[in-house]
Amino acid sequence: MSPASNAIPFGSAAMPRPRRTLWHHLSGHPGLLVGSALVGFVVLLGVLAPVLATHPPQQVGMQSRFLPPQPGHWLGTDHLGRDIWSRIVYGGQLSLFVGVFVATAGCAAGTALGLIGGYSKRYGEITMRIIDGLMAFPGVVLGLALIAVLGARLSNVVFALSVVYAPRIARVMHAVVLELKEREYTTAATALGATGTRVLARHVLPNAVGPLTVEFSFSFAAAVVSEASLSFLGVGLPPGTPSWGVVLSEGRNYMLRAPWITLLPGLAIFLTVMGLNLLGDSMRDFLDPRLSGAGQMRRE
Amino acid sequence: MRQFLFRRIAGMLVTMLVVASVVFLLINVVPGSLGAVILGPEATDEEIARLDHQLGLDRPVLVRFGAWVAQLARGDLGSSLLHGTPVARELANRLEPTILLALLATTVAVGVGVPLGTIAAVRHRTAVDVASLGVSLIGISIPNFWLGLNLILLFGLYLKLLPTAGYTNVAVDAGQALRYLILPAITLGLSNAALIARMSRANLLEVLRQDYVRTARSKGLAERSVLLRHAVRNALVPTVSVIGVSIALMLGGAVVVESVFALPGVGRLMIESVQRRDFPMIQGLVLMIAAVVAVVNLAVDLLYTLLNPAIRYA
Repeated sequence: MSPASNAIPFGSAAMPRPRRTLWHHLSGHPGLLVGSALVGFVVLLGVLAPVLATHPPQQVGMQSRFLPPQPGHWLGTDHLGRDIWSRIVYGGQLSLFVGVFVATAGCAAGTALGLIGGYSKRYGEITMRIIDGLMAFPGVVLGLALIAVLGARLSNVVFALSVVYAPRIARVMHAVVLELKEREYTTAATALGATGTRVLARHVLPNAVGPLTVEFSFSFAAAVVSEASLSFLGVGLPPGTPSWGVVLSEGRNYMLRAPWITLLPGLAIFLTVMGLNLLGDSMRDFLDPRLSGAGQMRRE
Repeated sequence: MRQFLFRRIAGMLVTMLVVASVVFLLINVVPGSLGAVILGPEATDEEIARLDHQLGLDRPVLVRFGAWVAQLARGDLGSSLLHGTPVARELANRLEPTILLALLATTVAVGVGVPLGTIAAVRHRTAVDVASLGVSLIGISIPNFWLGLNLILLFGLYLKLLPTAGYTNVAVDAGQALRYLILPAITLGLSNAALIARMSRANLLEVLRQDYVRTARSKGLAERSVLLRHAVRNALVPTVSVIGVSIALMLGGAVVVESVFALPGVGRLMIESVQRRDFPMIQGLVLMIAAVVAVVNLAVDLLYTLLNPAIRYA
């Protein structure tokens, strides 16, 4: 801040503080920069998978089994001679799909439930009680049980994980809605005669977008880990699918002989999740600098 | 205080009812017949009908729900579809490794997390703080199963220091049991350590801004005494609730970690039941796990109230 700005009394209405722009924030916060870079990189990998893959991800070759990283197979091959790089790139596409879908569905359902919880006099209390009940199930356990009943398919994995994360997002959105409801501008709008729907659409929802983006980012990360965990446990996506969790679990029996089969997909999951967590965390700092480094990240 | 207790316990009972309903719905409102899901595509209609009848699935939903709740109220979790043994007994046989794993992992999580968070807050906005935030970010982002596999590779296969899979009961050989549990406990503990570190850092930073800390400093107390006697103690109170949350997370994590290390615990039983489509077992396990989480949450809430009288009457 320039010395001149010190002359203005803090909080003066006449001279508002210079607005914190995203770019201004970005330059001072390496976390946001690194997070966006990591996520951007993974998105690029996933989108360009057909171009970047050097082999079809399912192509087996008995002559090329257990090849260490080398020209032609620059991340090596697995026990069936499939190219690890190609499988990781296509696995990224799958993870992105699962993450985006689960986060979108979770945020939509979570926001709706949070609004009902915060606004409905009749159904609010019961909605929140049901959400509390759902939160008692550890994510992996509920996901497992749902998939056991529905069957291990991509659509069911996505559905199960959306069911797992929606209540967690609803909790946060409920708190946000309760807070926004008490803000002066909402009270003012109501006092001026605005209808409930208008207050919701013009004042509450737009201001909930920030926290929602943060939640989107964290649920995206959690969904990527959960899909990989379920697939690793053999109850997510079917064997052979180029999913990071499947590739990893197929390689675990050959860890001593070919450690790259488990190391590399795991690294991909780790970097993707770290990028998303960094992004979510930095966005939260941007929205509410007081909370810097304080918030919980979603772990499962 | 009594009213508070009453309200919390009533709340938990409602939660448990929701939990039981969800678990019931899960199995009973499947599209199609559960018998068909269990027996697979090769089963004949007759076989499916027989199994559905055996499971009582041909009765109306509400009757089944009533029967199930009555059965639960008697403490009966049902019987395994595969072995015919009571779910509760199977569960009891698998408890030891899971309980020990959770205890050890919590020790790791608290033992690493609280000091890491405390040092970061005391050295706020220094390289130490940034490094600790970085380490906890890595801890939160690293997938459990991958961390576990890497530890197996390093300590089990390369250095040959610790066993990579399996378990021995404590009654048989306690030392060996511990050796089997070290790597799983580190795997499960570290990610929770990261969460606890972030929370204790934030809590301590909050406390350090309080008036009584300023008072303690201005009356000339040594910084060490201000920190230990006034700040850290108070900052630990909210950390208790995070430890409660992390125990719930650990039960989920145990499912994954027990599979990685082939520990014959409750989590492993869950996976086995899912693979064998043993639905009464899945139902019983999910119910028990959710019940434990709800009870732990209540216990943590009460402990929190005891530690912090200020919120007792809120």
